[in-house]
Amino acid sequence: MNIDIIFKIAAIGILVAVLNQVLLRADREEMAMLTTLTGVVVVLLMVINLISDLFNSVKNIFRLY
Amino acid sequence: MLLKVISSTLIIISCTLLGMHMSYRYNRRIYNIRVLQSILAYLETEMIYYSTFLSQAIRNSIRTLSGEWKAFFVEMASVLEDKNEYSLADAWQECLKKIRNNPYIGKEEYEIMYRFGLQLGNGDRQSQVKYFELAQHQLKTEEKKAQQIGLSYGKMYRSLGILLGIGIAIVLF
Amino acid sequence: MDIIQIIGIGIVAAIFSITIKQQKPEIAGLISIAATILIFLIIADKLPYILGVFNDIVNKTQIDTVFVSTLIKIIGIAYITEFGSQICKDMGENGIASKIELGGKVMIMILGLPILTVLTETVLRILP
Repeated sequence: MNIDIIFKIAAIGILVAVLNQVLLRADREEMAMLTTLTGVVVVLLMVINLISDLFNSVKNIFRLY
Repeated sequence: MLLKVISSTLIIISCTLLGMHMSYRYNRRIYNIRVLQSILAYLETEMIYYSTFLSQAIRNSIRTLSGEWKAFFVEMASVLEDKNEYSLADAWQECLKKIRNNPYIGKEEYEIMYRFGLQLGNGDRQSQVKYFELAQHQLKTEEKKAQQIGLSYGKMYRSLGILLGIGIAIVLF
Repeated sequence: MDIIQIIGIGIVAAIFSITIKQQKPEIAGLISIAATILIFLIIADKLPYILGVFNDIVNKTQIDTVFVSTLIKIIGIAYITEFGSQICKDMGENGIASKIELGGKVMIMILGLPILTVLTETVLRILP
């Protein structure tokens, strides 16, 4: 319900990008891949809660039971 | 809010320190290899030209140096002085085993020193010189390799620590 | 002044999305999802008021409430469908987007069928 979550997601995204660069520079492609995956999963977990909120409120407002 | 900020800062600082420590391991290993090289050079002079006893030669060669290998050589000298029933190679292996799991000593130097210990004291002076040269040469190669690894991995671990700390702080915030 | 909040969220999300899109397009997509949902959740507080006024008008004109509630449900389904398909399109998955739209159309069709039957019955009654 706050704009915090956008900042959080953006921070994680930038972080994952930088981590990716660092790991690629050190010749660790597989670790870079894993960090990307972890980042996406973490962000997805945060967004999934939001999506369930959205669907619940749409259901309530438009009475889609 | 204040508590959150404080705890996030703590997480970031501790992760940064962890990364610094991980990258310090590489520098420390390079330093140890260099120390080992100078110890071996000194030992060679003592043995070949002055013909001192090995225990005394070891004590002379490590006097001014420090690092993880110094502990090994100190131990080695005392074992040689105390327990006369040990052969040189046995004592060498016994003392090497104690530092095998030291994080600041790489497996490669360990192997080189292991082989060197088996050859030390066998054959005449000429072959001893050859063994010393071989060990020095191998250590030099390892030093170069360790430097390369340390340059890229050390940097990686340092930034990895900071970034991971920030990441954990953001996820938990 | 919720509109300012909405605009702010939109602009901030857009800037972040552009920044990250070059490095990690998948996370950029998630940012746009989060922004969409946040904006909707702000709107969600006001919508019941509008729908209430709508219902009042319908009650006064004595139209069958079944039609109106069906209409509201259809609006809801259309909104969610649009949301899903737009996100898929943003991420470049046009195929999945069109499948979601197809699903939405079918669901709306099912909701609309009772109205269609009433219409046909009325037409048949008027015709001899």
